[in-house]
Amino acid sequence: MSRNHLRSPCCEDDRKASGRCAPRRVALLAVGCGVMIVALNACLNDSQSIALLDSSSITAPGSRGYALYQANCAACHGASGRGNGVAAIALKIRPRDFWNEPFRYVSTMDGIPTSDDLAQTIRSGRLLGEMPASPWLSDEDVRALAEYVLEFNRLGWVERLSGDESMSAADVEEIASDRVTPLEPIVVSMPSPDFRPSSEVGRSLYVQACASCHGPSGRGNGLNMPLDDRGRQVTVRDLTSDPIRGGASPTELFKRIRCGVPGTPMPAQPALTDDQVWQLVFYTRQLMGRPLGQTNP
Amino acid sequence: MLSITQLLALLTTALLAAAHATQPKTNDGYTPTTVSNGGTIVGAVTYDGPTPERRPIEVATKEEVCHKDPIYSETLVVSEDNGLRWAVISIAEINTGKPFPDPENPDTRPTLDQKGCTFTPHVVVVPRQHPLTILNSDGVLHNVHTWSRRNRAKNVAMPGMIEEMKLKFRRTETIRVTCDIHPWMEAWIVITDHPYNAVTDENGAFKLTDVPPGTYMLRMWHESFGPMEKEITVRSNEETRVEFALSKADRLKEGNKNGQ
Repeated sequence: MSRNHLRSPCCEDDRKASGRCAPRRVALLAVGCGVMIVALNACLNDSQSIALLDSSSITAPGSRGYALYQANCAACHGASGRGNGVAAIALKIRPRDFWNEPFRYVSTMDGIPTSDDLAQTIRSGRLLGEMPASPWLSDEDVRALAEYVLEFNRLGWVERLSGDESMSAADVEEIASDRVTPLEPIVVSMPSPDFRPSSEVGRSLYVQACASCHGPSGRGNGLNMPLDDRGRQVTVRDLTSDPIRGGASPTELFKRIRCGVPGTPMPAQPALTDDQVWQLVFYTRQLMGRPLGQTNP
Repeated sequence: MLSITQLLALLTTALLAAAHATQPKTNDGYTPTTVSNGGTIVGAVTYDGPTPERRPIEVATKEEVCHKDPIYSETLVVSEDNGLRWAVISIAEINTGKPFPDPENPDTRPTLDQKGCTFTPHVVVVPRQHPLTILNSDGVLHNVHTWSRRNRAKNVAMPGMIEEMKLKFRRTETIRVTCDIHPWMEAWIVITDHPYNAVTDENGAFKLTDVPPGTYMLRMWHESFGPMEKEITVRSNEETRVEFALSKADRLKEGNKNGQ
């Protein structure tokens, strides 16, 4: 398959490429194509993407990920992964631009997702986000997609670093690869034998490490109004009533608290001990209304 | 004829190229030796253009510790004699010379403190692969968020009870640092591969000591100005004076968020 379909006009071609276009949204899409600025943006991005996409064996047409991606992801994330698919305009939450934005749910201390992290998001979707689960995909297909979307992220770094005169092409390749190569994932081990979940200990840690944004009682009304990576003020998660997007199981909460949520103001917590993170996990779950110490999601 | 899209693409490419043209060269091989006959480079960075009146920043938080002392922007600090503070002066390329300061010595180790809801100092120089000590004197949650390109990004929390933490960086780069919780907090971490760097003081003055005799390019970087380089010659046991005089025309419109 050639990539000429990406060139222009992109809205129409995105639809062909993905082969998916929710009928209810066709009218909206037509309007979308007419919106000059959106179209211009999308076309500009796509024309810049083609050479880079073709340069990678992972994203080149004909790869396993290519067909899967176009069929399952492109409608929202865009044929070239910039978050500008035809259906994107109808969504409340903007789809991820894989080139320029970090992935949210990670199990590493450097904010880079492992293949398993991405596979989990692809498989399960985003809880109450607009990304659906894909239970019908085989494990191999999910892996191929994980590799495929991470490659967009690498190409994003190649693109951003390429204009830097002081870097050789080899430097650009090396740094871009480095920026998508995760550290070893953290080990979520069981708490130590003498660990007891304690509301008191949990609360005191929560006050020092979480409350200034999430609020004294977890309602998302802390003293500060933090900004995300794009400089936008975020609505801090109300832990008592909002869905926990990355999952509320103790293991998932452990990862969110320890590794942070890249792209959002939620930082990693390298300085806490494992037991301190566990105390925060159980205290947070208590704020969510789970009895202290209960471990099922 | 070019379409609007093509024109925009060209324009974007040109702008990006211009913005990236001045990054210092990567220089990984530095061998520390004893410098016995070195010279000194002294000088000042001045700016004679208009400067905004220094007013305290209105801080959007109810945390008391952030209201103890007024907080000022550090992006353009000019003394009465036009001395420009927080400019970074570095020898552009040097492969051998004096040893690095001891990273474990509390008096010389590079340190970034979070104090009164500001990063202090505003600019800190760290040799690559050396630890940068991060302190939290405030006793409230801060986060250290690095906006690096060459190095992996870090966004790490420093809860109130954690007083000290170490960060390391692999590659030379000038990195903007912010705190997402207190968005007015901003600092610059300058990762270098040799010890010949200085940050100008409140009078715009700087000094580099024990420089092996030779001819070098001396580089000036400041977040509000485009970078500047001057060729200088250092002679044994002599002082070489260098001035960087900046004017309104050198001012960057949007500031410099990429550290280039």
